[in-house]
Amino acid sequence: MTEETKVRFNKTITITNLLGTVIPPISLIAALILVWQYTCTKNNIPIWLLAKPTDISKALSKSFSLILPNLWVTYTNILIGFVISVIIGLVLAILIASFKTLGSALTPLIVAMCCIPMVTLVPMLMLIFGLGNNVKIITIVIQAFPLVNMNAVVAFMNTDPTRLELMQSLKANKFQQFRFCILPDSLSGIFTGIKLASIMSMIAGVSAEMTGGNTGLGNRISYFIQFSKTAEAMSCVIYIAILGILLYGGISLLENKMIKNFQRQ
Amino acid sequence: MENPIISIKNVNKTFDTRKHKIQALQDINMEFGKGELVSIVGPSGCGKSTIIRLIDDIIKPTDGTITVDGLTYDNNKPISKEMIRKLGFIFQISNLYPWLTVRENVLLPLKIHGLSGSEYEANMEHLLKYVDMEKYADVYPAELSGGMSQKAGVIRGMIHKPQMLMMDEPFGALDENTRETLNIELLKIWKETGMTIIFITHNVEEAVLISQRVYVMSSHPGRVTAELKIEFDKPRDLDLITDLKFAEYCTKIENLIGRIELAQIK
Amino acid sequence: MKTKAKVFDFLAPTAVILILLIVWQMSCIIFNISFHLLPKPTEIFLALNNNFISVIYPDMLVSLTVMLLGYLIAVPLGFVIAAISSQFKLAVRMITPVLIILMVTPMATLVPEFKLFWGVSQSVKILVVILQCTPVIAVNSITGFTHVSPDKQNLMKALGCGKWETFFRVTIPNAMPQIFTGLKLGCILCTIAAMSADLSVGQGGLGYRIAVSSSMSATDTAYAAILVAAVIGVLLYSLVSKIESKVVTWK
Repeated sequence: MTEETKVRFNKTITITNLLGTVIPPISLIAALILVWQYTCTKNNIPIWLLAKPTDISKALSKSFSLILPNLWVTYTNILIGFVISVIIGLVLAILIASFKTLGSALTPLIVAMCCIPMVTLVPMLMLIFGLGNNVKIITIVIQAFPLVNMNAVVAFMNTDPTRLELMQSLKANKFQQFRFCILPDSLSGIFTGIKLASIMSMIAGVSAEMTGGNTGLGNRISYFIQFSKTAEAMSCVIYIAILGILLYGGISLLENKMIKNFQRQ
Repeated sequence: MENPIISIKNVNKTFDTRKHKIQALQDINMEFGKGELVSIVGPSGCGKSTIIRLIDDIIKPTDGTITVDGLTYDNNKPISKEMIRKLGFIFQISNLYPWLTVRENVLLPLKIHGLSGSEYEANMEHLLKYVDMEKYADVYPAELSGGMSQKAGVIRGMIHKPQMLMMDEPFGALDENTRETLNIELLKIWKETGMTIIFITHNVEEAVLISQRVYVMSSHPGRVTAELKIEFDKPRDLDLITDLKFAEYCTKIENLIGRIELAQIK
Repeated sequence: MKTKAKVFDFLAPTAVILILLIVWQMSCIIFNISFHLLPKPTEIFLALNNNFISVIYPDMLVSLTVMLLGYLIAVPLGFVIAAISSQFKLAVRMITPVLIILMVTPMATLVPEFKLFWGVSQSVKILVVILQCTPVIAVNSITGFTHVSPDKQNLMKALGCGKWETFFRVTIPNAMPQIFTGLKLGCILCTIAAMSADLSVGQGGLGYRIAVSSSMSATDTAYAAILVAAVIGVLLYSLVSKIESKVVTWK
């Protein structure tokens, strides 16, 4: 096979791969939407009880400009909270992996932090700190950083001992060990933690909006349902889903890019 | 021996596992002269790998003294950076980091020792050429064959121009042809650099082919049972394998190992 | 030497918690922090004691029922979905993206709609917990099931094992670490989902108690309820982790 035919062959494979991965789930989703539409129409379910897909698509375009500022608030809060929790989670993980005593003392507390239902505290905290975004972002950080942290610590502790031995044979100091051996070896574990943290950031961010404050997509859902505007409420759910997909997908793409060098580990 | 560059005196090593203590080494006494190529052979579990890890200060002895290049190791403190730069260590499995290219793997010890400069870059290019790996310098380890990975691991261990090289069964996982080729290449590198090499292997033929001296060990616990000088009139190359004296040495060592194992069964 | 480490592992976090509690108590006194903002630890424990039987215990039971029912339905449901779909490549390609979409969309967003459609009841809360936890468990289990090394699969074929025998002997044990990642996250999420469902739906539950108490300025009861919720969450998570260490013994 010449170089040219090889390249062309590889390109066709990629397009077929793409279609193969995209068509099945899209067909499933399309089928589910059709079932939904049919059931609502057949049983004459009124729009103030449950919106049909056709109603929702109308709402998506009509109310977009109205929803946009809330969309911006939700998207920025969750993204900022997520990024902060990743940074804090990783930094703490490096400290915990380097100083055993710190680990014993802090780990149970960190586990506890993600189990505390911060969402329930949001209304109370907002009374004190105001209705702005700070309370929501802090909620996201507290709920999400433990997931980054716990997975990173486990990954650091489970570094391949033979690979570590190379570092020992060269008498590398802790910083060098981390940089050249432990961090690269732990990447897949770290990414697992980051993906879980993204899910938690979504949940914490949206729930915080639903319980306190008056901005954000979560808040709009409660607001619209109050007036039985189910189509507009569902359109907010879709915008939230889009953010979740973009965030999770972005992380997966980044993971593939960073790890592709040593796939056949 | 007068002025050995490495000397191990009365060294014992006991490992503490969850269930019981294992004595890996018992009263080990060994000496290595400057520029010598010495092999340590023995059955698995006799502590050969433990000995070179003690010399490279990866682990500490339970008691006894290790003296390297005039410096006696402190059993409670790690050795200095200058000392570790004089030593090189090559692993059983190439232990290349899969996220680095061959070139980056080979350069890694320089980064950690804080060495830089054109002499080392030149050394790297020279070594890559020497083992026929220049074409693969920017390739990732996942794409290399076993022999190529091993070669990369070997030149990585030598990149910082150590005076003393520890090799832990470096060719054990390779097929016979590749192993023999690499043995001859190692001899060439040894002649060119004048390094002191301690070579661990369970392959008696390999030991007889390349070494000037052989230590024979037994296991449970690890002890030195014999020391042999290997002398040939002819130059060391693959033709030597057919020589009568070669076969004599091999048989002698195999008998020593076999006798020990029989004794243990009694 | 080992017992010394175990004792330290227990004492260290206990000591940190005690120090934090003391600092908290002192700060409240020294800085005159108002009761409505942050009650003292002593006040919280008093509220916990006084209101336990009357209010906190029944709410705790409600939340526990919701959490456990939801989780214990989500686990086998997610597992079965993953087990069946991982056998067919097409099914995996179809279902995994949809499950991921369900996983990243907070189910709390559907609670207002559910309230509108079905009214207010514990079943709505349990449904939310199931919807939140099942995709997480399913996605992680599918990842575990579909990443068996070809060597292991070939070994099973060489030994003449059928599809389901291979599945039980090799695939499931191999996937255990990944399955437990899903189970642990599902456990954390079921706590949070149950609490926020309590808040929106009402009808008792610790989340409800927290909201009601803080709106009545009985912040000590509110914090007492949060403490109980956190303890339940931590205990559940520790239980799942303990099971993991017994099952995944080779780590």
